[in-house]
Amino acid sequence: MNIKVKAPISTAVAIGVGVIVLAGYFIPSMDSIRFILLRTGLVLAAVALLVGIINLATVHIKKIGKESENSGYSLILLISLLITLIVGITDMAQTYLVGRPNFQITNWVFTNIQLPIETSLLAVTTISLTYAAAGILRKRMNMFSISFFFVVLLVLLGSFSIPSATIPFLQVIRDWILRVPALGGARGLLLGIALGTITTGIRVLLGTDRPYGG
Amino acid sequence: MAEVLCANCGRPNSAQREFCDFCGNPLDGALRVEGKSGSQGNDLLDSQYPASMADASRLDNLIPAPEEENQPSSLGDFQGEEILNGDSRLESLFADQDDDLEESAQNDPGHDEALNGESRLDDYLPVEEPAADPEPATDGADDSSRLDEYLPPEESEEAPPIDIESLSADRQDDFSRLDGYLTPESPQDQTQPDEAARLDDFFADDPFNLLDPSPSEAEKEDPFGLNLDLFTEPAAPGIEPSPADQGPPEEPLFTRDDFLSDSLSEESSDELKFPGSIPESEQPKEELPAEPMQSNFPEPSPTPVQPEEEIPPEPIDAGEWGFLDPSPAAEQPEEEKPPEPIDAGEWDFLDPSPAPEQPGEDRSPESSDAGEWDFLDPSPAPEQPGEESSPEPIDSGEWDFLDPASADGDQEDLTPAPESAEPDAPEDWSFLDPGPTTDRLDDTGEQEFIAEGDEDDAGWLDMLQDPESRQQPESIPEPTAEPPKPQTDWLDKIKRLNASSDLVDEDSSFPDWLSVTGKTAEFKGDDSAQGPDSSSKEVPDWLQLDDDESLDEFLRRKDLTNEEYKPKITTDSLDNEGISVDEGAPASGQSDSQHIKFPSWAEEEKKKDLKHQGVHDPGGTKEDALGSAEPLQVEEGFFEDLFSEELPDWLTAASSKEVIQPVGQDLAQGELPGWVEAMRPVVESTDASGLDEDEDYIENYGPLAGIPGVLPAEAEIGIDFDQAVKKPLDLLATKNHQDFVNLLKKLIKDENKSRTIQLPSPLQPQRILRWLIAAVLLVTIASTLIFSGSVEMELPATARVQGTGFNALYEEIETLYDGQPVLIAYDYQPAAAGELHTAAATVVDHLMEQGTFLTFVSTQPTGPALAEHFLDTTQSQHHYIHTQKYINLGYLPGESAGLLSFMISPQKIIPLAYDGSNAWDSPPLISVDGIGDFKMIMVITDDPNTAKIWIEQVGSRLDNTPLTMVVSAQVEPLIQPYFRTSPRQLAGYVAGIIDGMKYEQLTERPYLASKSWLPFNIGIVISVGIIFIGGMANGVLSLFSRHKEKVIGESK
Repeated sequence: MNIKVKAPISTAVAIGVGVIVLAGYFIPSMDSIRFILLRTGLVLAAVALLVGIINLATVHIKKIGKESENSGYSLILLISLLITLIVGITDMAQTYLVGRPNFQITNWVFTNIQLPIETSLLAVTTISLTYAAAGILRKRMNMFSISFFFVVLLVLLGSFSIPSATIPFLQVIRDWILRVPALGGARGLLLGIALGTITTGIRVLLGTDRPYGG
Repeated sequence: MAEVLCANCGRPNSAQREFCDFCGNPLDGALRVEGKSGSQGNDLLDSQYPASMADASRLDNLIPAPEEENQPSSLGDFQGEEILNGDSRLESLFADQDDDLEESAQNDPGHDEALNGESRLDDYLPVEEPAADPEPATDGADDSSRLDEYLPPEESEEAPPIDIESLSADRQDDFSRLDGYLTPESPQDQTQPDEAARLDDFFADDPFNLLDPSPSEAEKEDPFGLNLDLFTEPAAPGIEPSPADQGPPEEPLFTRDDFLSDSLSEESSDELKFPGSIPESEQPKEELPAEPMQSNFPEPSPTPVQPEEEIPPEPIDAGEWGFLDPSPAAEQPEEEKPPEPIDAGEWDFLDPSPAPEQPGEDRSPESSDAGEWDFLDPSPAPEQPGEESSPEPIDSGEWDFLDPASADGDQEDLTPAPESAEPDAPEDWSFLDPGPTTDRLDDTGEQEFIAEGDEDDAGWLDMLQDPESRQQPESIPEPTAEPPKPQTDWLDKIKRLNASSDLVDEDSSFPDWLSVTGKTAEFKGDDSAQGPDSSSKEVPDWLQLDDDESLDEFLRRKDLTNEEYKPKITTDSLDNEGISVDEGAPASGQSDSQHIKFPSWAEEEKKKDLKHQGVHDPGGTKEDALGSAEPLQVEEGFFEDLFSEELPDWLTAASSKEVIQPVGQDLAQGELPGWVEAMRPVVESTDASGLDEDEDYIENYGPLAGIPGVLPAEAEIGIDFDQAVKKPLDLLATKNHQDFVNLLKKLIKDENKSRTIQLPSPLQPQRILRWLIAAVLLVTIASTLIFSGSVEMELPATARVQGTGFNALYEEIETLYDGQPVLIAYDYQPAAAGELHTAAATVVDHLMEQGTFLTFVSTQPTGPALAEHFLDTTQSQHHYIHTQKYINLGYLPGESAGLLSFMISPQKIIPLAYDGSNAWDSPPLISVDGIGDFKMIMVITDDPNTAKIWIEQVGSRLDNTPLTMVVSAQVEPLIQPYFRTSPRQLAGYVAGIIDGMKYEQLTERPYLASKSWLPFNIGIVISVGIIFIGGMANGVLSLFSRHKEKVIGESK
């Protein structure tokens, strides 16, 4: 006889923790228990980050072993990971040995490598979005696409604020769009997210949804 | 010059003599001596025997003629008794030779004694023996003591070792000569006409038959396997064993049971007075020296064995002796000792019955090294070896299965017919033709033995003595057709004989499982009903074949003969038995029993079935024959299955049956038979096309070629579906049916259509366009950034300040003062650093201007580094020092859970700072127990979800602490609802560069937002221009393409 012990145990743990944490919002005396659970969750989340790093390294090591087409990128990633790890460990060791914060190497790597790369990626995204906005009417010519196209133009033009070339009503239109339609839409969206979150929470507390497996 | 030594008197005779000049004994099996040198290989004998006896290894030469067996032998004279059985021949030979040996062995103390059999044992001893024995035996020395040299090596320290190698070689030579005797290759054997008699003689004296196949206790007691019991056999009947030679009474090596078991008949056993048959109470008991192996060999000398005369035991390996044992037994049968422990592995299977024709010969309970052939050993129970080997009716109770007559429970009713039903059984033994031996068919002892109804036990001898029955090949059942194989191996010969002699009635002396022919019962009965001719004693031709070539030739002829007689025998036998083919031969082919051989149990069932069906033997002998012959059957193919991997005969026979060829198989494919071709219509047409007026098609291919008016069997390639569909249907269809029909039409029609695949837009123009856009943006923005410092730009006036986010934030910061702790969360990605740093720089600058103590925390892994980078790049002018003006708590994992736990107890969640220092030792943070103790919380993020988490998880728990944000422009719509509430969940915010620039205007400290305002606006304009132009163009093209498609669609 095959008895699945994992499912009921995990479900019971999830429901119990959820109920305790939820009750902590309403019952101040349960803050201590809730805090213990939350603190344990933080440790697990930190460990999960390490597990994620190890998993990332393992996946790319396998890609290198397979000698696939993109194995070069995996190699670069692993080398970068290794270098960053060595730099971080070195800085940490130096900091604890010297007794004062010394993360110059880490900051240099972050400032001169990671930050420009990510900023450049966002800039490329800007160009891609611009090109996509220009081609939206070619792909789909309907009211929604036309409205989207002209709303983008109005908000951009309303952001333009050069005194010699400023068109006053464009800024008014932009502010109206942000305060009325955008705000309304955002609230509706937030309310929907909140309702969805509550529903999901109830389902998890009732055991209907078991995203943790089982 | 060749001489012939008489086997009886041992005197040389001329080679041309057929009878001994001295004693009149026939010289058929006498030893031929070339000159006076004797056999070179008989070194051992040469050293011990005169030249006349040196070549006496051939057993047949040493065995006198059967006529003389009944005569008192010399040994019998010496012993004062007449030996009437077969053993007397051996003993008489000993006696005759003893006369010669007495002179040649004058110096041998052993010969001074009465010439018993044991004294001749010395002749088997190595040549080196005299030299090895420093103190030759005296008169009182027991010759058997010389056996002590073969005793265990515990006593070997008293004597030098014997050259085992030379001894083994000698024994090997002797053994080889024994093989030569046994095999028909012997040239002397071929000169003898009466082969069957010689074979009989051989088996009469064959020491292998004397071997008790079942293991005995004596063998178990012999740790060396020397089988010294062989030497303990009585020297001659009537000889009183000396007390010195008698073994310990408690361990008799040769008991009465053994003797009885070895005797072939009760009568013969009564005649013989073997020492072994003497009861233990009558045997003088004498303690032998402490020898590991004692000999019961009868010794006339009453003197006990003297230890000093003992031959030092040699460290002889039992295996060597097992190999050497046969030679003395074959070469010196005159010595009256039991059969040597011959390694009868090759011959054990030939011993289906324990030598029934030699009742006088003692059969030692010692079993030979017959392990390889034990499975063929018919002895079923080793616990009664004597009874097993005894062919006597009394003692043959356990051998009833060997006795066909006893199977029926009536031996008296056994007629010679069943014996004659085994005409060709001797074929199985033809390869054993020993060569020239004396014809012993006249041996009265054996005849009496056979006449007493023990023929069945000695059936294999009967077949030798009943040659007439073998002269009736017509009655031989058809064996399984097996082509003769060019094999010379003796085992293969056996197989061939088995296969070719399938017709032959099985030797009655064989048990079922040893029956090599597998003849069925009904044929035996049939053969047995063939009358009294089976009692003929004429020797068949096959028995006269000695060599392989003649044997092979015989086998080939036999196979052919079997093939010829096969069908005839089958039908005749059935007809004679009154069994119709339909009745007696059901589907299983009972009449073809020569093809399908059943095992014993199956034969029994078959026999029962025959009885139930009323089948009876007209001669009244069928059942007897069944009962007498069936237990002796062995499934055919037993040996084949045992020694080869070939398929069983019944399977090969089944597979070899002819397959009925279907009619018309010879016809070639694609060709019409002649009669069909003749019926084929001939086209008669007047025109060239061959078509009549009302015919529009004529077949060109296939069987219908030339026939007009046939329906063409072509593929439906040329069918026009449109026309076929357009044809009106006379069906009554509803609207739904019509819709389905239309749908089907459409599907069919679409399948025939070739879809027009629109070529994708060329990638090159797209890339060019993208690069063009990037170049334009890059050039314009970079130029503005480069030249923005030199260009004084007027900032736009803020149209509305009240109620805005940046204004609320500004007011909140304005309420702060020096040293108040402010928590700033750097929760944004590095990609958004350009925008957020520009927007947050003026806010953080404002906080620093207010002198607040900044505490940095981040829910993003890159947040702490961004915070440090932010301070380094934007707030370096304030010279904030870590732990003095600000503290970087680092990374806070867990997102919402982390924020919640951090909100409850920040010191416990993050006790240490980013650099490992104590984060909460700073004076502004000492009073901070919870997140509510911070004077303001400002979140810098580009993610609306993160902003939402902060507002929901932290903002709701804050009482007096304002929660503010600096977000990117894309997050503003999502945080506005939290700001534009009452009370505000979000105290204030700055969204993007625009709000940053406005915040700078509030603080009147233009900073990064003001500096980047122009490029930002230029970038906006260019982007708007690209989007607008591109959008318009694409819109027009889209409209045009749509119009074109519409026009095309309308045109279609």
